[in-house]
Amino acid sequence: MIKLSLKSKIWFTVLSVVTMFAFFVLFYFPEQQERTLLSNYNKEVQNLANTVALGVKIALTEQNLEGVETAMDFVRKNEELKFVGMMQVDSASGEKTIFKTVPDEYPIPMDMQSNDTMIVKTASFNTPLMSGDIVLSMGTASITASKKEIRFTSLFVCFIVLCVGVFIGFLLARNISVPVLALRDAAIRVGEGDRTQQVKSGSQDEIGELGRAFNKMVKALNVAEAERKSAQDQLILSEKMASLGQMTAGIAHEIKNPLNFVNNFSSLSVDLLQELEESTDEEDRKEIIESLKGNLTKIAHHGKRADSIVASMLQHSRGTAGTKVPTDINQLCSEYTDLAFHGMRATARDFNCAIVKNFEDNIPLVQAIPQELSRVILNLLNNGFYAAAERERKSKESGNMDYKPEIRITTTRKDGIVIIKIRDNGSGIPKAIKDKIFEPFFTTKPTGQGTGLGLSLSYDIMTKEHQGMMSVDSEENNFTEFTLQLPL
Amino acid sequence: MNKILRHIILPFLFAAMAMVVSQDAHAQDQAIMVIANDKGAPTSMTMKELKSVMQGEKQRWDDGTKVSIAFMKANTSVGSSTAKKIMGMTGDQLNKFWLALVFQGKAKAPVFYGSSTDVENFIAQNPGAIGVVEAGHILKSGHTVTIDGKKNF
Repeated sequence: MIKLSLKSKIWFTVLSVVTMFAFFVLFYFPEQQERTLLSNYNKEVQNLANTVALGVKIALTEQNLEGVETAMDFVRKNEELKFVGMMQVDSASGEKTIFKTVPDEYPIPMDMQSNDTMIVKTASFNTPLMSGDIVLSMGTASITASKKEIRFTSLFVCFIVLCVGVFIGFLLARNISVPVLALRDAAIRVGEGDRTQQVKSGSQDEIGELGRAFNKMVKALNVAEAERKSAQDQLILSEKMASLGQMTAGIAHEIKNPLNFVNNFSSLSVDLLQELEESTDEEDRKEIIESLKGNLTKIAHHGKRADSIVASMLQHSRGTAGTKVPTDINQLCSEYTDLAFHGMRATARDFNCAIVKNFEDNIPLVQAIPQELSRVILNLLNNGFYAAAERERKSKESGNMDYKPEIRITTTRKDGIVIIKIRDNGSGIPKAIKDKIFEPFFTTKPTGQGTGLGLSLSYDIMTKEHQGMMSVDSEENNFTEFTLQLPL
Repeated sequence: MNKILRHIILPFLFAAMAMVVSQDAHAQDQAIMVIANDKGAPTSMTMKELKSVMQGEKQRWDDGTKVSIAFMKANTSVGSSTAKKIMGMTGDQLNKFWLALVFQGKAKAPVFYGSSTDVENFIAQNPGAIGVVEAGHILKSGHTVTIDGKKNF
């Protein structure tokens, strides 16, 4: 199907109307007028012939030649006269002979017929004295001239109509096509994300109303977009807080270790200081001082470790998006696996799960936003733990005690891409909902246990913020494996 | 029966025939005279000149006045005598002759009247008019035109 622009359609319509009009004006109407002219002219010539014949009849019957004279004067003065003849019919044989002609001696054939250049009409008269026909012939020059005049007028009218048509076409194009095209361009730009678009809507017709409606729509869209953004920010924050809550136990566990070290080494250092005060042997004092240095170094190390965990927690809960920094993927995965595990254990003390870390050694630092990437890993691990716990619960309910929950996290490097795989042997994802899991607000968890934004945000973080990929493979009641790909 | 035929019917038939023949002879012998308006036509003409005028050949008088002709109708004795004595035609021939002239526009159509008085009235009202009336018609206007020296012929 041919694709026509609005402007082309307007011009096509206008030119079609003009062409139709031109056809009627140039061909149909002139043809009709010419036929009417010719018909009237035929009648006129016939009437003249009849008048002359009547005059002849009166002249011969009543001896009143003035009627003939009047009729003939009228005929002779006609500029179109070719000839007028009086044919005499022999009453006995019926043979026709020419009685008189005007002009004199005009050669009238007996089978004279009308043609393009002349109209020939016959009128009979019958008197006791003489019977015959009046044959009158008039030229068609005036008809031809009238035809030319009609054609010229038609051509002129066509030209005027064409001009008017072109003018109307320009007007329509300006008043319809231009605003509609401007509206189309503005709509495209709005679709591309430019919400500042406004169109001129000065006219009071439907096009103007459309423009005003469009402007109103864009304003409403901006308001709605702002509200949506605000709501989304709130939801994202809620999601962060939710994951933070889940991490709390893990964080506490992680901080507890370095704090134990700090406490132990601090107590040990206090004892060593006591020994240092009491010792008089220079060698012993040197040895104690070295031990103290070592203890303080370890205290500092574990203090930094705790600080790093707290910093990580703060980073995770920060609302603003971070910037990409070289990130050790293996370390990130390891830390957040532990955090997630301990977080899970804090809420479900009966649940135990095997953690299998399989990290490739030679993975270089990846440009990533740690707080965002950690949120993805934490989210996937939490989902994995939840699925494994669900399957275990169902297994126990059905009397199957053989099920052993397991989370396997793997990192590999392949063709300039770092791949993180998080696999659980939980309940799996039914095929019917597999296509929906990345949609916002989709969740299979009970009300209050999930926002439905975790996978959606994770997908956006991977694809939009890291230009990577995120995919899922699953088999119901067997496994679920998420694959994250990060470009190097 | 023969007696009746011989004494009543035959004499009646002969008498009727005699009346018809007498009437026809009277028609052919109807004396006519030419009259004209005082303007235009001369008081005397030759028969040849008269014929030329009556056949539409001479259409203006010597003073330039246009010739108008008035005849009595061909079904009158004066009309048929006029055709015969002046143009050597029958009344029908005269009609056809003038029809041809008028048809071709070669002469102004003559007028035909049923009485000498109507002819005289026409002549009185039209300068250059000439016409033929019954011989002995008493004129109230115009003048008589002698033809070859004769007033009546």
